[in-house]
Amino acid sequence: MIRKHNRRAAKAAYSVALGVALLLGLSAAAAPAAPQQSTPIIVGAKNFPEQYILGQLYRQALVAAGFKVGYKENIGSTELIDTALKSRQITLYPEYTGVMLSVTFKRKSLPKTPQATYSLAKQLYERRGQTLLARTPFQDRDVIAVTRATAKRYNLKTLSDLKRVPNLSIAGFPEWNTRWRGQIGRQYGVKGFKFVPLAGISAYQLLDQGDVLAADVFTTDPPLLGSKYVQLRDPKNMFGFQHVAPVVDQRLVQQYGTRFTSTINKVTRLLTVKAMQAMNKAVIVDQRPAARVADAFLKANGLKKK
Amino acid sequence: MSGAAAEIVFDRVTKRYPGRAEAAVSDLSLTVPAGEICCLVGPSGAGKTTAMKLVNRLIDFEEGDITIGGESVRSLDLTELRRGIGYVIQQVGLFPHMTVAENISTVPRLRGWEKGRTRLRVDELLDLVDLPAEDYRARFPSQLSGGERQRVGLARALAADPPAMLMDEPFGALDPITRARLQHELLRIQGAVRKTIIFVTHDIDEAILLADRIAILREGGVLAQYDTPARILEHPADDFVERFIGSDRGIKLLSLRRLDELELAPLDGAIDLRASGDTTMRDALSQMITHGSRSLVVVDSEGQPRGVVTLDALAALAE
Amino acid sequence: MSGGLLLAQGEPIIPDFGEGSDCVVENRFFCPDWVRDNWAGVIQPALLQHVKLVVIAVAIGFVLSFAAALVAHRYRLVEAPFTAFSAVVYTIPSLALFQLLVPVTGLTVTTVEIALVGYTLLILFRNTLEGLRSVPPDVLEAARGMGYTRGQTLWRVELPLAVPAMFAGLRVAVVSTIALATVAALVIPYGLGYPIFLALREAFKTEIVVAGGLAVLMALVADALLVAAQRALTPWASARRLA
Ligand SMILES: Nc1ncnc2c1ncn2[C@@H]1O[C@H](COP(=O)(O)OP(=O)(O)OP(=O)(O)O)[C@@H](O)[C@H]1O
Ligand SMILES: [Mg+2]
Repeated sequence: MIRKHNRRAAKAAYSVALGVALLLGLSAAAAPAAPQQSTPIIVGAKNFPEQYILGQLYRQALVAAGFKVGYKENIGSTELIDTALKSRQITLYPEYTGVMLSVTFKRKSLPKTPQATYSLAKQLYERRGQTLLARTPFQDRDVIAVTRATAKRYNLKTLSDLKRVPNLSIAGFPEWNTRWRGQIGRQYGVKGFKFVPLAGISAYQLLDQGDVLAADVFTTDPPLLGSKYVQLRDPKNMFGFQHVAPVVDQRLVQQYGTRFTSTINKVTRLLTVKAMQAMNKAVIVDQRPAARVADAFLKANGLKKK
Repeated sequence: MSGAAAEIVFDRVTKRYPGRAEAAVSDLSLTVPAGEICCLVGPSGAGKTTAMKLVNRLIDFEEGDITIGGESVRSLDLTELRRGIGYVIQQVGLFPHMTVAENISTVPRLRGWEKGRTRLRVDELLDLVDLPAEDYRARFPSQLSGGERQRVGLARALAADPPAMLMDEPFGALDPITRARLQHELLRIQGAVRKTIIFVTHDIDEAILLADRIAILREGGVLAQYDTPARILEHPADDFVERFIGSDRGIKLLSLRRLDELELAPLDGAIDLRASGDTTMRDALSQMITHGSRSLVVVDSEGQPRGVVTLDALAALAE
Repeated sequence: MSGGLLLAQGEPIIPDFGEGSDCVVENRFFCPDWVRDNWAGVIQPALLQHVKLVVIAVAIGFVLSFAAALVAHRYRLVEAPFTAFSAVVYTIPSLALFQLLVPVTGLTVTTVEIALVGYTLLILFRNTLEGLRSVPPDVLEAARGMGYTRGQTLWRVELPLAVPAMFAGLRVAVVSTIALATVAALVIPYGLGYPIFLALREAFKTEIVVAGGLAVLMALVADALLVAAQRALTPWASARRLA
């Protein structure tokens, strides 16, 4: 799925925007009502299926536990949803730990373990009024996949095995090449391959048609459910860690205490890779509405009454 | 300010454009009697347009005064003044988004005439300028020829029956045939409506044809001579006027006179060339020269010969 | 519920979520059954929301730029600053504009409308002003000479003659706003942009075809309506010389 962050463009644009003092006048004229005393629970979600599912899961679990919950989905970019969070347009949203560090907090180098990644992000959020609740078992991160046949033919298990593949070609989103080509060369010795940028066609289709030998995909993609593709291991954790943790406004924790946090954590702990892939498949492949998928999942696991 | 023609008087009027040393109009005094056509002529830049626009105050002035029917143009409300003076310009300036009828009814509408009266007036005016109302009323300016546009422009200026008209080279952009036709039509219309008209042109022949009086301006807007066409041709005030009216002023003079004015010689022998009594002497002369004839028979309205005019007689008059 | 505790630590139960039709699962180019199932719930509301977004944005943008153009027509000094302002707004990418607005106006339609209105200003202002200025000098001279006041000249001559230029601006503004309004979905799930972005991410063809097709269709219909309206309002502009 496309969860790429066009950071440079957004940053440049943002600085232009800030220069426009006149515009601030315009927006100030449309200022909303004064803030309320108690902080409302407003769940936010970004604009791709996995996020709709996560957003619905948290929202419905909270509603089932008796909370009053607002919901805003399809928010356009990491920067934008963070802006919404800081300005309390939303007060809770699921984010990926690696993205928290690299995009929201603009970290250049990332910690070497999942726990360190999570802890650093939590620490950074707490400095500005939010915190993280427990993280999910699953992560949705970059992974290089090949077909089972290819894996067998070249005996591929880890990323460094790609060195041995003649005429290697890798498909990925256009920005993948700038971000990872150097890294995969330095860390795993994989060099001189041909990069095929994805444009309007899925990576799996390219693999199936034999147009490329390997492709950068995401770990929760539904096609990875079966045994058609092999995911190459990344022992050096080059791609970092992307577990999901709900970012919440600290006031919510203070206001509602453990009744609130445990409701969320119960949902979080259920989210294994298998569960996420299955729900993604239902939404993406079978075109089931995310709300209904979340509802079925919560009911099956006793977090919502049947 | 509507209906009967009004006298227009320039009384020592001077106009200086800001930032220009020389005046565009200098100490101009002249009287245009009610119901007459006064042609302003002169070389380019002599201040003709400026002098004309002072009358409806499209250009403002400080020195001197202009009165229409005894009232100073400065004492009148600006829009009222303008609505009371017909205004025709070379580029016509018809409103492209209005039909011919709407264009013509501009001033009546501004004056709040009722619809029925306006409609009748439009048809009457279209008839006057020789455009069949049925056919032309609903057309847009883009659907008219240049000559037709100028007729509509004239009708528009006449619409509210103003006592005075200002016309700035209205026929300047037309071909010679159309121009001649419209000149004669203007004379015909003027015969019917009798307006006081200030008509700007730099074509001296046009001025001689149309004007009751001609005002010749020289550079700086100085009035060089103001008189009837005949007197200007007979007695040019100075070298400038003489040069301006041209070396053929004798022949021009003939264009002011008609064969009727002559004592005719009795008929003798067969002469082919014929002309009616209201033919100008200049045209008669021209016909004789073209046909290589030394004489011409003048006929009356029934076509009966009345007498003979000779080339020599005309030549003697032109000297 | 003892099972709940156990499950919370171990593997979750994955229920049967139901399956899509063959057409949907195989992601064929166009699945009528999907459209039938989602017309009332997804497509139709999105279409109506999109129409609302565009109509409101262009209407407000038109009123603002019309007023600004009238002022700039009268006082030339106003032209440069307003042009600069609307040009700067025009060049700000929508995401950046949203970043700026969300803290103030929230994740709301208002935020989207402010951005959309901002993008219409430049074209509508320039075109209205050009239109007002396009009136031939001899026509203005005639108007003045016949005793039109300044206001009458504006309302009866300059504005009617500016209508074609204004419509040219409106057509560009409407069509580009229809395209731009899809970015509303970055702020809230609203308008055709919502299904379009969704479908693009999932590479789900039917939804792209339907939602994208509707956006294109909407642009064509809106443009045709504007052309018809302009024809009706300015018969003189289409009148050609009769034979
Ligand atoms: N608005 C103006 N500002 C300054 N000077 C002007 C202005 N209008 C005319 N003039 C000057 O005043 C003088 C007279 O101009 P005017 O237009 O009255 O001449 P004209 O006799 O009508 O010439 P033409 O036969 O070329 O139309 C010229 O020297 C002209 O340059
Ligand atoms: Mg002139």
